[in-house]
Amino acid sequence: MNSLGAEIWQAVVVCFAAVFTNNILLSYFLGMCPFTAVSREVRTAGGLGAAVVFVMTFTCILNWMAYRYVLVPLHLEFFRFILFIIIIAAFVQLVEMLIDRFSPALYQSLGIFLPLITVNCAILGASLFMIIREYSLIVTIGYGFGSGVGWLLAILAMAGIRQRFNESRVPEGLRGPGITLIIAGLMALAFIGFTGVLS
Amino acid sequence: MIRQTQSNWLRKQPIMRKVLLALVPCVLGGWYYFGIQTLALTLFCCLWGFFLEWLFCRKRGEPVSEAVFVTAVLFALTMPAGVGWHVAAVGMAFAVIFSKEVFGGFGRNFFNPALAGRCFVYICFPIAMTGVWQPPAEGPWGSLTRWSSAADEDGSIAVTSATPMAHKKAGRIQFGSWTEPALPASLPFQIDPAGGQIIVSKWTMMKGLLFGRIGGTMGATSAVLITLGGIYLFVTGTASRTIILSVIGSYAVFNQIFYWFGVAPVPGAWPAVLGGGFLLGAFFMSTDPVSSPRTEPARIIYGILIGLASLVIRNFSIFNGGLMFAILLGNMFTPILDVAGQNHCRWEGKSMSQKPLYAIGYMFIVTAFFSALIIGFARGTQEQVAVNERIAFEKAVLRAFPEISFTTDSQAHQYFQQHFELLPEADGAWVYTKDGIAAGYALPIEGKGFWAMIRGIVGIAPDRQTILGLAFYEQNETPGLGARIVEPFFRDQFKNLTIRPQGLPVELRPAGSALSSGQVHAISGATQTCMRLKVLLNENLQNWLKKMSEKENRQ
Amino acid sequence: MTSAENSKNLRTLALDGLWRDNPIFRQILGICSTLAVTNLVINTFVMCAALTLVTAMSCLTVSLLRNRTPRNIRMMVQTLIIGFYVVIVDVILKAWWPDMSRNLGPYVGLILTNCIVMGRCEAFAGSNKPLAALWDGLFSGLGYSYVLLAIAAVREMLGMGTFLGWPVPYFSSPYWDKWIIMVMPPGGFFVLACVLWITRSIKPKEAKK
Repeated sequence: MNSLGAEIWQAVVVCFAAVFTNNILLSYFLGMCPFTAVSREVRTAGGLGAAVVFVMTFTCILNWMAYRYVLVPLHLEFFRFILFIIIIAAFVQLVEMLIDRFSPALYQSLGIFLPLITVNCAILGASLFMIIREYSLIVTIGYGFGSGVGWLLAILAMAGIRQRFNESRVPEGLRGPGITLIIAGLMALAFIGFTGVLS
Repeated sequence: MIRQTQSNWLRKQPIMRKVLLALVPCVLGGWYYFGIQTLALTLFCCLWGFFLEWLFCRKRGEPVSEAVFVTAVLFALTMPAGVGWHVAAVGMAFAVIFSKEVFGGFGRNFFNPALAGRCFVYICFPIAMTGVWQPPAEGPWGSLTRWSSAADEDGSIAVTSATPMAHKKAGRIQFGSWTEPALPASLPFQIDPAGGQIIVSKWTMMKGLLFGRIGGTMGATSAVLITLGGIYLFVTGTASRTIILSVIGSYAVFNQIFYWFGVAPVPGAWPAVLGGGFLLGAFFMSTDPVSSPRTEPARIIYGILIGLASLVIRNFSIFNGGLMFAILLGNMFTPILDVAGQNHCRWEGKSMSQKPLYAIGYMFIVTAFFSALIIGFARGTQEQVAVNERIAFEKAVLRAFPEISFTTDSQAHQYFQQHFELLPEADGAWVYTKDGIAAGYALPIEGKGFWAMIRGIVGIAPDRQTILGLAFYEQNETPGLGARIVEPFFRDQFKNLTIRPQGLPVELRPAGSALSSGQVHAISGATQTCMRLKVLLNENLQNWLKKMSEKENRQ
Repeated sequence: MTSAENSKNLRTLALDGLWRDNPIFRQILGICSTLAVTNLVINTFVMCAALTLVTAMSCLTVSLLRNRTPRNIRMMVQTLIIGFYVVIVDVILKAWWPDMSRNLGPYVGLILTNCIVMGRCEAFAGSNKPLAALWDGLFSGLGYSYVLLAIAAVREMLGMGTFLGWPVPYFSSPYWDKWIIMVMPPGGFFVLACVLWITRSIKPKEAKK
């Protein structure tokens, strides 16, 4: 097998692993804040999740290139946190402006969630994980995309549950975030089943 | 506040009574195969569950629903015989409190409580739940009059470490034809986990699965008994027929397809459907009216999702209990499936109905397009990565020989270049030469860890009788748990470790237990990582040792 | 502002951070970056110390610069300031405690997106005097830390039978069947949910946002 083919295969495997076995939300707890705050309705959750998929894929690519071609040659690896967050913020800002200018309809369904994303730690987390695990560029694309899809799946399922759900009979102290965490815990329990499927 | 009348204590639920009736054959079967302990545990689960539920219901001023007994009986039936009662108590507590009462009691939960409780203890107490299985009783009276089927007259307890389905998955049970070989006539209860392999006829296997003379959970060994109850549910319409057909059908079809394509551990349709309590889950748990979808199209997709997920988990994950995770996954996506099934997503009127889908599709296309551009645009950093990996590898090789010390990368690289060579006669191992004489072999090992691949080096003495050391250069295990395999306290155990001549070359024992030669302590709390490490270490070692000795014999 | 008023303010601020406005069980903020490492007390301790330090120092710096920073780019400036301290913590850990640095993985860097740090800088430090800002940041961090340490203690004790790596009597003995699930992700969710349940039940009136 040639190396490009092998790498693309690895990217596919990593992508599926990021969705199921290493779900960034359910096994690494990243992106909890928007997950608990914006999961009351399927529609908004879907919009936010889609925006996360988009931003995560591209910021992973951009950050990978910035890290490999700028920070590593300059021996400034420790500077990556700041550079990554700036790239993420700038990218989000840029996309928001472009969408607003060229596609108002898309802006209505996706763009309004973009500002929320800068502070979503899952985005930065995905970039840091891909550096630590030393993925190649192609694998990084798979990883960024898979992590985003994993997050989208988790928040969609959560929103579906919460939309159907009437909190009036939940014990008082658990209403809101508490019950959300318990649902997330049960989801994480189900996802543990995939352990070892892909590696 | 204690209510006076009986009906205020307990809410009558005719459907739940039908389900309980359908479970009677399984409970009686458990009694017959595993003894009175089955009844005792079931009763204990019922009482304990009732008490916990009553605590919450009292606060809300409601009677306890009868559904709690269904939960308790189902939960008890999925416990292995002889399991510690604390395990059952924790599981029931989790089932009743965290997957039911916190959501507001009966009818408000999203996850099947019995399954959530079982999953919880399954992961929480892996040894109690999967390590010890009691043999089912034989003879016309079985163990109807005995407490447990396992205790012999002398009081010793006969147990095994795996169920037939686990043996099948691990390749220790192989199928002959339908009638050949004639022996063994019934499924063997115990198979030596170290390399033992038994060929049985398909008929023997099927008989075992149908009539339950196999190790397994208390209520889930006999497919016939489960189906009796299941048919009752199906015919009376107590459980959704769509779900039952969809779950069993899709599971059978997927299994058969994978089997035809020769995918390794997939056993084919009938052993999969009949084995390991799949039917119990399919008839009684996936159809839970509260946690399964309410619309017909959603039910079909739900069934397919469960069938596919349990196939994947049962065959390829480190866990054998595929169906329970699969049903939890199904439960998790039930509301969103219903939303899709009813097709009443409120996307603000008609004209907007296409827009979100359009946006998502658009996004996928844009992502794919730019990704393709970038792949074509920038590829050329492989070299640096290769150098880094090379250095990590070389350092691991040196660490596998505790006598070698180095401080910098370049020092390590130099030493490696001077003293290590990949010779064809060493079959994939690096030969370590010191002062002109062979001082050992460095054998690279690799295999699946708990989260990702584990790769490392075993240092082996020239006589191939002793392990000199062990080092890792790639692992991604749980921080603080599995990842501790790289720490000296664990690795140091492999210094000058004698390779066992019989059975597995290296044996991992629970932390704190007594050790004999060739045995090391596992890391407590990191059972999964250690299990995997044991497998990959021994497989690599065994293969290599075999090849080397064959080569020697030829010469 | 007289000195008496000032000191009363400081006490109120401390109480707010520790209980009345606790970042975790009142505001549900910033659990992402730390919950994942709460399966061991020692990891949690280091993470929390780092977070408290970063929060306090960032609040101080933001407050010192508050009159010179143009309003429209203040978020960017705050991010830079926080990033600066996060890098310092990361470099210190890498240099003097490499094992811990490897254990924590990317989670140190994720302090950068922790909502508490950003939240305190934006909501309080940007419009208050340096000392008060430092104080506020410090106690927000401490309020966050003790809750997470409690969670970690429960998880480590039930799951591994140890505390800070030392065996705990009974829990490390064979009588205690270790709850493996506690050191895995679902355990973190459930323990945190229980903490919320308990703390929010104590003052149910305030719990409603």
